[in-house]
Amino acid sequence: MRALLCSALLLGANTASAKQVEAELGVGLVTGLMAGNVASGTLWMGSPFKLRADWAAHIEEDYSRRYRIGLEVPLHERIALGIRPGVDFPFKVIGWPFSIGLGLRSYVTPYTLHGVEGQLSWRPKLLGKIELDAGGSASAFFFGNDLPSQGALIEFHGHLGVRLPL
Amino acid sequence: MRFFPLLIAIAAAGCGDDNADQLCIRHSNCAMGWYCSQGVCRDKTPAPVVIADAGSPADSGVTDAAAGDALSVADASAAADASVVGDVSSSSDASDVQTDAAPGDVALTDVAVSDVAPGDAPLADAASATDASEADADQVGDASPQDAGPVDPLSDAAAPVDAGPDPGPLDVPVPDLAPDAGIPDRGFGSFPLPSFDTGFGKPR
Repeated sequence: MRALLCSALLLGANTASAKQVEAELGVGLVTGLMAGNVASGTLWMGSPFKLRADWAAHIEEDYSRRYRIGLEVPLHERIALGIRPGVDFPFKVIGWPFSIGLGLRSYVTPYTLHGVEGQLSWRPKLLGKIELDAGGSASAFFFGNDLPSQGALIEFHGHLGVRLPL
Repeated sequence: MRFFPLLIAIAAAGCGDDNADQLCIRHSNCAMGWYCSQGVCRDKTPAPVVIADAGSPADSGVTDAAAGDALSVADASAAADASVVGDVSSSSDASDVQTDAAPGDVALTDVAVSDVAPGDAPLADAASATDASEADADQVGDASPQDAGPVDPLSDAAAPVDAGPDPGPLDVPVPDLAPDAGIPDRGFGSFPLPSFDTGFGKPR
């Protein structure tokens, strides 16, 4: 009987701790434009398509912010692996859910590129619990061996994806 | 079947060296083995250096040197000066110079040695200079006249050889590389993953 009680308590404890982290998984595609300074001035180019996936979670029922860690892979040009840690701040405008995100954006291999990113997303319910994730982002890179000397890079992306609560 | 020539043309365009003038912002905008400098993709591999007198005949003699081949004249004057001085320390320098000499310089060296009085010039220097006439085109930069040691007044014996003004190392190859050529190798070539290049990011 005591064992059964302890098991019930442990199960309840696990359920309680699971509520401390309300996670969701997001996947999507981004593309857009990028600009950089070259000898003749500012050069604008199309930015390659990138596949993004991230895991995000509210911690301890704090719904004012959502922490995320994401991965990013360019789908053409040179393949690379990037990471995108950051924080999202959900809010509503006339009942529509939006989110502003701030974070870092770094390519770590095979070349390096480090910068910051800000994004704005519209996240309406799509099917059941699935949310659409559509919006735009701006990134600025200042460091990394993928940049020519004395170069900087700015990217403006549109993104489209879905988010699945876990 | 009638579209076959069109397919060939498209394939040829796709296989062309389209990175030569490709614009870029990041190194990764360029293909493997290329890097981005001043907004343009450039090849990491330096252009091969072609020495003008590498194929001159061995017995072309003074006439060939006087024809204005700057490298031959510079090498010949350096070798002749070193042999006339007879300095043991400079003989090695002369050998170094002649190591980089063109085959056409052999005749010039012979002329200079024959004009020198016995005892002034060790024949070993001349022999080494002659033996070292196998040209190493990659080390032409070492063939500056300064390597030939001090100039002795007796070197007037070789004056006919140095008849023209010494143009200096005009043929020294200058690598055609941009300042960014020294970027560290990021190991793209060792990354065995397929390329997904669909041409989207390339400038229109």
